[in-house]
Amino acid sequence: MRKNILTFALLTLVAFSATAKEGHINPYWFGDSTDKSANQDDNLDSIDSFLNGVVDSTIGALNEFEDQPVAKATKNGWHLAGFQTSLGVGFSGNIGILSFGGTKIIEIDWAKKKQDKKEEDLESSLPVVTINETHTKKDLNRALDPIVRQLVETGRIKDEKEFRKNLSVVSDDFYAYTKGLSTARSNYVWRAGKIRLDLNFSPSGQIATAGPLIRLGVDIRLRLEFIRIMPEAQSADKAMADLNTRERKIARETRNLLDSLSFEVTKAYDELEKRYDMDAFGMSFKIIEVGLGMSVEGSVGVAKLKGSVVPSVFFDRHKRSSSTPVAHDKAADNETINFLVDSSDAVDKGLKDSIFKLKRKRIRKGMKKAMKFAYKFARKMHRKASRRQERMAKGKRVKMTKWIVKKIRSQYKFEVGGSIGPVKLKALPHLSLFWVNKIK
Amino acid sequence: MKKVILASMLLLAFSTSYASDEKDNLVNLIGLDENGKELNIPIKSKKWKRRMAKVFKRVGGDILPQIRSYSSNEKFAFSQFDLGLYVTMKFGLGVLDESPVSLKMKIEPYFKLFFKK
Repeated sequence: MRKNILTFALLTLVAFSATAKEGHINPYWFGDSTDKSANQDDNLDSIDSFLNGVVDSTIGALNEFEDQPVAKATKNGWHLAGFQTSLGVGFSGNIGILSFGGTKIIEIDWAKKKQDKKEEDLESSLPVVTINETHTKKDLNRALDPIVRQLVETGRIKDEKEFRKNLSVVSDDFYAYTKGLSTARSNYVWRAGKIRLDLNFSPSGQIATAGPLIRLGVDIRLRLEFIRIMPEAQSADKAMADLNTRERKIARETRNLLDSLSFEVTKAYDELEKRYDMDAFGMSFKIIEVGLGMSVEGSVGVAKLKGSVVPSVFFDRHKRSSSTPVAHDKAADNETINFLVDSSDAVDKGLKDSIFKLKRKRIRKGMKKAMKFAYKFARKMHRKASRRQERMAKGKRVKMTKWIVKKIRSQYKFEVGGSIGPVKLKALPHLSLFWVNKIK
Repeated sequence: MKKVILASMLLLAFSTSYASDEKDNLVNLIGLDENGKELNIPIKSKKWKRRMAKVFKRVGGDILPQIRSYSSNEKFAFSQFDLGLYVTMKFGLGVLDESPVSLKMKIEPYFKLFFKK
């Protein structure tokens, strides 16, 4: 009898361990990067059923819309070109389609399979001012001026003076960050190539914090972008000639931060590439986005991606060349990288200021884990598409779809203690990884 | 007795993997309520698909013609239109004993549509 009870208890435990995690992300992905006991080979099977549901319902709804007469593009060509859905993770690791009140962990962009050579870019269509290394601060202001005048003329900006004042402050800081990028090292496989700042202004000219929804016609949106075009780093003297002392400090610290991050991202990627074929399944790991910010004390560090005051820096992958340095700098392991924390967080963590110095070795481990998670998620999505095609090839009743997953963006938050994990409902992300479908 | 227990436990253990192959999977909707408490509402994928299809149809019928007419206005020379949408869904939680008030939970999953020229 006792044996029977023991068998029952054991089997119950086995059965429940198999069922309890259904729809939950394995705790390994949230745990400390140094925890060796965690299951490092988790393949996200626990969210299979949920993802099947997301894929089937999305493709089903998009296919149904395709059959509607209104879906046909008219003479002037307007058509539904893309669909984006966001997934979130609960405090206990439960995954779901995100609703109001949470932060997205994964963003999936669906697009129509390419029918012509024109790039289907699902980026937003807000007004963009783009500069590069050849432009000066005056050029940036000159490019902004017509937009300001247009906004004032159309009556969308009520207080021109306030608007110009606030825009000038953020655009000057933005310009200083771009000078840091112009002078950053250019020979790592992963290197920063773009800085973007999305600005939201209220009609009174105040900077408005970006949210999941911008009220149509009320908030004024504008994007500042810097794209590096020169393969070699500019000299600091030349690049920073039109900066004041404060801006020079921002530029220098930005350069140092980007050099360190390029090293760490490249090294994390190199280590992961030894184990996984990162381009094997139709999705290519192309871009990393990191928030860039300034502390109260004026130091530059990795910041929360919250828009309007925090620019994003984009790292992209380049081919290895003979000038690529081998990332084996042992001394770098004990160096630190600045992370900015909110002043309330700083008090909670016992910090004296809003800067937290995180050891580079831990950042690298965290980045590796983040890349691994994104890789496994992208692989899972790809396998679902492949299985669908196989079923179609076998003549099974699967409706032909014109839609593919175009882009997957997964977001992560660094813990002040050093670990990294997919962002949970309340948390704000520091790092985004983009996987882009290679099928055009 | 032992065989019955073993068979039932094996059935329970395999039911999860079997369920994942079924076409009508559960899709979880997740979010925070006004008090910052986590909300989790499982919904069948077919139901979620019907809800999305309904939104697409409505958007197509109401908004796409509007975008098309905007594009004929020379003042607005844009080539893409992003539309953020959310679906308000209420779920009944039942009626409390001896109370005329039924409990309902509201959740608003959102998504974006991109229209291009």
